[in-house]
Amino acid sequence: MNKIFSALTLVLVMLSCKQKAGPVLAAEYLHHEDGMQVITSLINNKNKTISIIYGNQLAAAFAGNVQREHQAGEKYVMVTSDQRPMPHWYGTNMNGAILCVEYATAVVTEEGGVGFDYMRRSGNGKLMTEGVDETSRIRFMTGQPAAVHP
Amino acid sequence: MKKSGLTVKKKKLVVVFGTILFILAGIQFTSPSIKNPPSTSEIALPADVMAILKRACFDCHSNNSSVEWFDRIAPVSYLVSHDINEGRSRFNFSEWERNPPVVRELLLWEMVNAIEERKMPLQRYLRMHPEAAVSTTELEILKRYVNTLPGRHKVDTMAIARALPDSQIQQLMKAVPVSANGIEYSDDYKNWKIISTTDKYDGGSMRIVYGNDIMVNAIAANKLPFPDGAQIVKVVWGKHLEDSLGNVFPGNFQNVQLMIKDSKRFSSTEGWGFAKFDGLQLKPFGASAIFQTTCINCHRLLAPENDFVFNIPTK
Ligand code: HEC
Ligand code: HEC
Repeated sequence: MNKIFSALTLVLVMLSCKQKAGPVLAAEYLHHEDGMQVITSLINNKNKTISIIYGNQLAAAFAGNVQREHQAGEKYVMVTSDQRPMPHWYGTNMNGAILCVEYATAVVTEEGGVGFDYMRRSGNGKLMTEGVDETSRIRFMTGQPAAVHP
Repeated sequence: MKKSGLTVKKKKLVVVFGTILFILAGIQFTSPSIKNPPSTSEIALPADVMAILKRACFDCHSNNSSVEWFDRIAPVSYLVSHDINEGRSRFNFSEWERNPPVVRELLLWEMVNAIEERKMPLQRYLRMHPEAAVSTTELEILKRYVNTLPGRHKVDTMAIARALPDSQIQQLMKAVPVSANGIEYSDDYKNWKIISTTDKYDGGSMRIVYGNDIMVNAIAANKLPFPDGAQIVKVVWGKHLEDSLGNVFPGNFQNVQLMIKDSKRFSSTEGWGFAKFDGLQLKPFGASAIFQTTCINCHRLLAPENDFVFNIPTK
């Protein structure tokens, strides 16, 4: 009896049309800067973050090892997002909300050398100045070799 | 008057039921028989993992289908034999070595996901075979197992190859790589926007996923399914060893994969055209256009409500 019932519900289910709610997209997790190209990306599993480092043409030339010394005009942007499990696939983590965006721009110093201006903003654009070791952040985000893009 | 009306109705009912019974009996002679061919290379798994998959999946994904009496009765038997044939064609635990090692690992991760997303075992099968259901504790056992597979902790220790020798570059310049389904490689994506960055820890790679303007605008407008002209490009690298601060950077470039929406041209694969170009030579993957079936089968099973796309930002 039970099996016959199952067979009948089965037919009913197959006839009915299942309607699944679609996802709600979150464009606010995307960040874009005109005129910048990707230098590299990085994962940090200790901080549970995932980042992209972008650069303008001069920065990309440095990261690609075409230019051996930093030069004024190089611009770097590093976007760091929260890591979250990818919906529908256990086995991948992806970027979630943006935690901070860092900017480093190479300028000519008073002594005639090259230095960097640095700024950090939160995901919603607020300046974040507290507890930043600017020198080490600048060294980190401007010193990475470019990932190979064919 | 009323009384004789009822008898006529009754007679009609008898005729209707009689006919149905007759047809049911008749189609039993055409009922497909389900055969169990010999097992050539059965999968080797830890005992606890094997027990779960044997109970929940082997009926359709192995040459050891145990078919119950009610499964042998037409029209149910048609459905059962369809599911078994289709299930075995996707992957077969009894002929496991037919899959290259990388595919074996990917299949095991896909199985975990198929169970987690409640796509497998098939719902219609579970109704008749409730004992095949996989519990949360059992899913945890499977998850723990896939995390012990070699791809899980793969590190790219090779020196990074940055470019091809000049001779090969010149050859590449002459001929744009073309996939077997006619999709051409292009590096336009370098000017597109990034829609996602991922750590694919199941296979030891990291990725950046780009979308063209049509794709990005559709995301901004929260519009699904994605319109014709939408394009997605995923660039894949190996992963370097983690440094002391926990940072993992890209290793060698592995491949570029893309999806192009054209609902007419790619109607057999849900409107998406797939392509993959391997290595710095960007060698098209797939000897014939049939390779697209493997691509869509996995995307269709697990991400149908996302218009078959995984890498989209969602709340
Ligand atoms: C009643 C038969 C049946 C059972 C039982 C069953 N499957 Fe399937 N499976 C199928 C069919 C049929 C397909 C083809 C896709 C579809 O029809 O949805 C499939 C497809 C799949 C796929 C997709 C493969 C691809 O082509 O990408 C995976 C993964 C999978 N099954 C895993 C499982 C796992 C894991 C179990 C056990 C927990 C299981 N299946 C139990 C019938 C079955
Ligand atoms: C076993 C399942 C599976 C198979 C088979 C598969 N994919 Fe995917 N694909 C995924 C998953 C999971 C993701 C998301 C994780 C990631 O980014 O790697 C993905 C992501 C993608 C993306 C980025 C857009 C998106 O949907 O997120 C592209 C492009 C893509 N796959 C192309 C292909 C191509 C081309 C093939 C066939 C050669 C293929 N896939 C085969 C599971 C699969």
